[in-house]
Parts: sequence; structure tokens; C-alpha cells
Amino acid sequence: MAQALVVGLVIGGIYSLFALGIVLIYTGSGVLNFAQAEIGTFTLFIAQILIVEHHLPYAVGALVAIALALVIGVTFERLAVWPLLSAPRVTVAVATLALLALGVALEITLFGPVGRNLDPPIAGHSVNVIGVFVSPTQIASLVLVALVAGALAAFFRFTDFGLSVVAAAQDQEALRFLGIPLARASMFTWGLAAVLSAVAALLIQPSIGVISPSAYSGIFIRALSAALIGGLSSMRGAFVGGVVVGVGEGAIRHLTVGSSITGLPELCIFAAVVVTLVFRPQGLFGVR
Amino acid sequence: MPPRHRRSIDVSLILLACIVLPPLTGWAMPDLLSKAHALTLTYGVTLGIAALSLNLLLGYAGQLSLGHAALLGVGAFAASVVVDRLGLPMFAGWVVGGLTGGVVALGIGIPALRLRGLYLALVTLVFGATLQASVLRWQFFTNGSSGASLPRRWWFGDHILINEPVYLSMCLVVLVGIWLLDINVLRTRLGRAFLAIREDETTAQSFGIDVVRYKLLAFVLSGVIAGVAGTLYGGAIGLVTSDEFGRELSLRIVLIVIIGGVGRRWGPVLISVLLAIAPTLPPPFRRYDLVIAAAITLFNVVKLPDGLAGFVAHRRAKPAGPPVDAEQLRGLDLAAVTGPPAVLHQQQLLVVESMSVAFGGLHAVEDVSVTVEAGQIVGIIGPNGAGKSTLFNAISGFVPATGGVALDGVALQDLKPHQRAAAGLGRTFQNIGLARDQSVRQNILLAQHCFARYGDLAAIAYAGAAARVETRLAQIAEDVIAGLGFQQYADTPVRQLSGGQQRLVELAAVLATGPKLLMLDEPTAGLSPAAAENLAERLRGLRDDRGQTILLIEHNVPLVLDLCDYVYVLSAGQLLAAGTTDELAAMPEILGAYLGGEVLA
Repeated sequence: MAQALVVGLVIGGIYSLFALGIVLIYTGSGVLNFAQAEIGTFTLFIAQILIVEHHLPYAVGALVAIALALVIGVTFERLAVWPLLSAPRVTVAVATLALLALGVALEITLFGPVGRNLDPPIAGHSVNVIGVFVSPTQIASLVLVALVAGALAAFFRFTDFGLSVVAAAQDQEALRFLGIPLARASMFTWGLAAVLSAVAALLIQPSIGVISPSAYSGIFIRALSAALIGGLSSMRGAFVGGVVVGVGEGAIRHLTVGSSITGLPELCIFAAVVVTLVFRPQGLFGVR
Repeated sequence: MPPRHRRSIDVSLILLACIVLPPLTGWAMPDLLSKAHALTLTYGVTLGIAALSLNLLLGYAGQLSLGHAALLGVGAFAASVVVDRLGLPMFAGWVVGGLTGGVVALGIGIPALRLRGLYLALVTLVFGATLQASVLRWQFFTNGSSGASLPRRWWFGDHILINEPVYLSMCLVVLVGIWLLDINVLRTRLGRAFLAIREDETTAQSFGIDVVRYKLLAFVLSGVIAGVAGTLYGGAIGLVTSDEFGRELSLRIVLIVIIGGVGRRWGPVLISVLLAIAPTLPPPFRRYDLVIAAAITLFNVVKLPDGLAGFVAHRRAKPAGPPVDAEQLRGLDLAAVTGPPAVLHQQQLLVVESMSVAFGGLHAVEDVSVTVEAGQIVGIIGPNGAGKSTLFNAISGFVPATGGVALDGVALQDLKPHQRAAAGLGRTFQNIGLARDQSVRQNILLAQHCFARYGDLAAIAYAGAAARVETRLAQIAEDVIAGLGFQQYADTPVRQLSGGQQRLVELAAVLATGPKLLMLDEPTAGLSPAAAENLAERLRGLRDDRGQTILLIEHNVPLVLDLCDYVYVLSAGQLLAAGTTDELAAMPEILGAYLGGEVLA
């Protein structure tokens, strides 16, 4: 059980990164980005091709993936989000759906349905930490998630630009008074969210293993569930939600191993989302 | 448009489809239509039905479902249980598939649709993925990964299956049937309520529409059609596997509706068939069909928000109407557009007792009591930000308030806005409470929502009471439009009228419902002084000839003093003074201090 919880914690931390991207864009642009996980998944394919087929070092592949995600995020913001600034938010959400569909369609046509393999960046055996086996990759992942979380928290709390990005959601007029161009804040938000998506996809890959279009379709659902449970307007909520979903899923999977009923963890997550929406629509940490 | 369609036309169209289509597809065999072609077209047709299902939800009620494939899936598997395991005819499978889709939609809709916004999209998305990971993989329901068989059998225990071309023609008949059902939805109470909700939930409520109920109804109807579509889809090759009903199919349906045109019928169906044919075409289409579809969607959303069919329709749009002039208002016969007079029971028609509204720490309205006597015109005046509109919104239930409200002896404070409207509160809005994408005629019919008393099933079949009531309502709309002198704008979208014209349409639509109390929020805004004077004259006539009780908010103080029997002065959320116009005229310090001294000069 302890083993399952630790694995759940590692994966939950990564869900948090995806969820954080969802929350960032939701607070910055008032939009649900349905392509949040897809951007990372798509760039992960590129990283795999560079590393495995072109024999480039892992770090190079990873950096190219992150850079590509940044380009996708910013380009999408310029082409579809910014021109729709005054359009109903549902229109922009539908645009992100189209981006999701485009990503999925490209993956299927360009990379095919066959799974691809990518070895974890850090080789080595798992170490025994008080009875629980933890792989070096998992430790690295936990540390990295904590670092990213801390850096982002500091950035949004202590820098003018960070504060203004958060403020943009509440009052776009105020942002203009602060002298920070709305366009830059919007571009930054979408770029950062895309980078988070790429980093999270690279981190979660060793846990999922094979890279195929369908293998990653469930991640966005987990991340969205995490964001809904934690609260769409709260970055803290995204983190707590991610860990809750990851650890909860790990625990339930461990407890129901061998059960004839498939998909119990997924059903429980869905139930948790519905219960949250019914009793606390703004999520655990959200404000109404 | 007046109800040109009759139910007999529906029935004869379906009969015609039944008689003509099977021989047609049979005749085309094998020269024009091979078995493989028939299968491809069947996919297109069933995908088209699925697209109509989503269109009903997204295009009419404005709610997005991202897990539609799951509804198709549960329908198909439920049908497989009755057809394959119990040996029932294929048609029983259609019914069971549809019902299952509807029931599942009801189950998801109840928690998701109580919230505004995109929540249905989120919940259906999570639901679709969850179902695919769980229920659709359960051995006893779906036979696991090997899939469940769904034979196309005519009759109990038949082992000879219906062949592909005949099955195609049957799917086409179902498509025709659902197309007609969709037309019926649109020309009754249901469609008007859906479209009003899509545009503005507040407007919908002010016409007495129970927003949550109608959103749920749209989703359930959509679920039924999706269940049927899934059953037909599964029957095409006779085998249902859970992998088919995942994220990709849900996305595909959304793309189809957006490319084809949200709120349209032929566009989505056409795109469905094209997407089904695409894999049989030479490459680039075969390989990149979904890529192309996604790219077009992205382009559509940013550049053509109304899709292909909307783009064609927009090119034929007419220019804006002229402003309303004073002469036009002089000739206006408001009594002609007013519905049958309401039967009143109390002399004190509206009683508001110590009402307060607080937004956070700010008291927008504080301890305000207002009484409106039957047959009088009562005015509310006060400077900007005095809380006049907030008081109106509190009385009609749009903002939470404390204190009591009673209309004609019925306590309203615990009722929802649509229930207050149904109780006889008719109101207009400062920013015009009409469904602006709809025509003048549609809006007047929309306002009659509470009088369209027929069942939902009668509406879908356009049978019995529905047809009778709709015929009567159409006549009312015709009369109101004639009374307004708006015959040439009857089928023009309200958006294309001038501000003054929109205000008149709103007033007429509300009056035509025969409200016990007519609440007008700045009725003369945007009118010239002469036109305002003429409108006041018409309102006075309404009171004198019809005994209509009116409560109005107005900035034009001389007009209020001239028109009203009694006036309340509101300032900073509190009642500053009240009295007959003579009494108020004797209090120049009130009017002078708060409303500008020049008014009495």
C-alpha cells in the first residue's frame, strides 16, 4: 500500500503541473484549454523521435520539445486567443478543442497507432527508502515538481509581472493602469502553460511507458478532474487536486487489484468530480 | 413563419421515405452502390444523426457535450443486450438504445446543468473518458474487448440479416424522422426556450422559462438521439466494440457540427457524409481527413463563428431598421397588442415589504417598501446608482434579496424568476430583454411561453394540443405585429432593428402576455422628447382603457410627474420620499437636490 501511495504521489505531482496549466489559462484568459495536455503529448513524440531515432542526447530532445511547446502555445495565443479577446469564452474553448483535435489527428497520421519506447533519462536501480522502492527518475520528478511549484508561487506572489498576470483575470482595466500590456500577459500565460505541459509530459512518460496517441488521452481527464476538485481559479487548488487524484487513484487501484470490475479508479475520480461540483462548485480552494 | 407544416406532412414524408428509399438503394445495387459503398454511406448517415443530436444541444440550447461518443456507446451496447442476447428484432434495439442514451444523459445532466457555463462540457468530457475506461469494458455488459454482436434482424429469432443497402435505406428513414422531429422541436415551445437560453438565460427566465428544466430536456433529447445513432452505427457491421466510442469520435462529432454550422441541419449532415466517404477517397483525403477537419474548425471558430451554413445565411442578411419617430408612436395602438386583461384579486396589486439587497458589503437597496395599487401607473425615480434597477431585479427575482414581495396576494419571495414571470410579472430591461438573433415573430411567441400549455412529447410529435395551441399563438403573433405596424419586419432578426424598434417589440411582446403588473425599466430611453411624450400618451391610454397596472423606472422627471399616479424617490438605495405627483411637486427640495433643479423651472 505504501508503495502504491508513493507512486500515486509522484504521478499526482505531475497531474498538478498539467492542472496548474489549466488554472493559469482559466484565470488569465477565462478559458478552459482543452488542449492543455495535448501540447505536451505532441512534443513528447518529437522528443522521442529525436532521442531514439536520431540518437540525440535526452536533454537535447527534452529542450527541443519544451521549445516547440512554447512556440505552439504562443502561436495559438496570437492566432486564436488574442483575436477572440471580446468573443464569448465558449468560442475560445472551442478553438482549443480544435487544437486538441488537430494534435490528435496529426499524431495518428504522422506517428501511427503503434506505441514508441523511450528510456527514462536517469538509469539506475530503485532505492529502498524505509520499505518503499523509489526509482531515481521518480525522485527527480518529485524534486522537479516541487521546484517548479515553488518557483511559480514566488513568481506570482513577488514579481510585478507575475502579480499582473493574476490580476488580469480579475480586472483587465486595472492591468492597463499598471502599464503592463494585456497582450504580453496573455502571451506569457499561454506560453507558460504550454511549457508546463511539455515538462509534465516528459516527467510522466517513465510512469506510463509506451508513447502512443491513446495512452495519453487519459491524462487530460485526470488533470481536469484535479483542477475541478481543487478549484479552477486556484493554483494551490490545482496542486492539492493533482495530489488527491494521483494518490487516490493509486490507492484505489491497489485496493481493487484483481477485481472483475474494470475502471473503478476512473469511476471514483468521476464521482469525486460530480460530488465537488454539486456541493462546492467553486472547488476546494476556489473563490466564487 | 405561420405554421405551414402539419403533422400529416410529417407522417406522409416518413411513409414516402419508407416506400421510396429501400427500392432506390436496392436498385442501385450492385452497379452504383456496392456493399462496401452502402456500409460507408450508412456510417455517414449514422454520424449525421449523431451530429443532429449534438446540434440540438449545442446549436439550440447552447450547451456543449464532449462525451457524446459515450452516449452513442451505451445506446449501442444496451441494444446489443436486447437484440443479441434476448433475440428481439433490431427495432427493439433502436428503442432500447435511444432510451438508454436518454436515461444516461438525465443522470449526468442533473448535477452538471445546475451550474452555468461550460460545466456540462467538463462533466461530459470526464464522463465519456470514465465510461470508456469502465462500464464499456465490463465483460457482462459489452463482452469485453472482443465486442458485442448487434445483428440486423427483422423479427424475433431471425438468423437471416437485413442486407447492407436495405439497412442504409432504413437509416435514411430514421434520419428523415429525426430531421422532422428536430423541425418540430424548433417550431414549438421547446425550441424557442432552447434558443432563448442559448442567447441569454436572464431573458429566458423573464419570459417564464425554467432554464434548468429546458437545458436538461435538451440534453435528454440529445441523449435519446445519440443512443439511436449509436445503435444504428453498431448495426452497420453488426459488432460493437468499446474502442470506437472514445475521445476521437466525440471530437469528430463536435468538429462536424462546427464545420457544418452550429444550429443548422443540412450542414452537419453533409459534413458527416463527407467525413465518412473521406477514407475511401485517394490520399491526401484518406490520410489527412481528420487533420483537415480540425484545421478547418480552427479557421471556422476564429473567422466564421457560424460555420458553413451560417456563412451562407449571413450573406443574405438585411440592413438595420430605421429609428422610431414620434409619428409612428402616435399611431401605435397598444391596446391592440395587449393580451386578455388579467383577472386581479387584490386592490394592492404589488406589495414590497422592507426589501434589501447587499452585494458584498455594499447595500444596493436598503429596507425599501413599495406598494402599487391596481389600475395605477407608479413611477420610481432617483439619480444614477440609486438602486432602481436593482430593486426591479430583486422584485423579479434576479438578485437575491431579503424582505417580502407579493403580487395580487401571492407571496413571490421564495419563487424563482421564471415562476414570478408565470405569476403575472411582465417586465422589460434597460438593455432590452429579447433573444436578438431571433425574429420579431419568434420573440413574441417566446414571450407566450407560459401559455403554450402542451406536453413535451406532444411538441416533438407536433400532435394534438401542440398543433392547436401553436396555431392560436401564431395568430396572436400576427395580431401583435400588425398592431405594431411591423409587418415588414416580422421575420427580421431583432438584432437588425434600431434600438427604438427593439424597445417597442419588447414592450409589445410583454404586453401580449397580459401581465398583471407591467414593469418597465426606462421605456423612453433612446427616444426623442416628442416620441417619449407619445409613448407616455399610449401608456396612459393603456391604464385608462384597459386598467393595466404599470410600475416604471424613468429618468425623465417631467414625464414621470405628468404620467404617474404615485411616485417613489430612491437615493443611495433608500427611499427618500413618496407621494402623488402633486405632493412631490410641493417638495422642490427633494426633486431639486437629487434630480437637478432645472426640472421644475
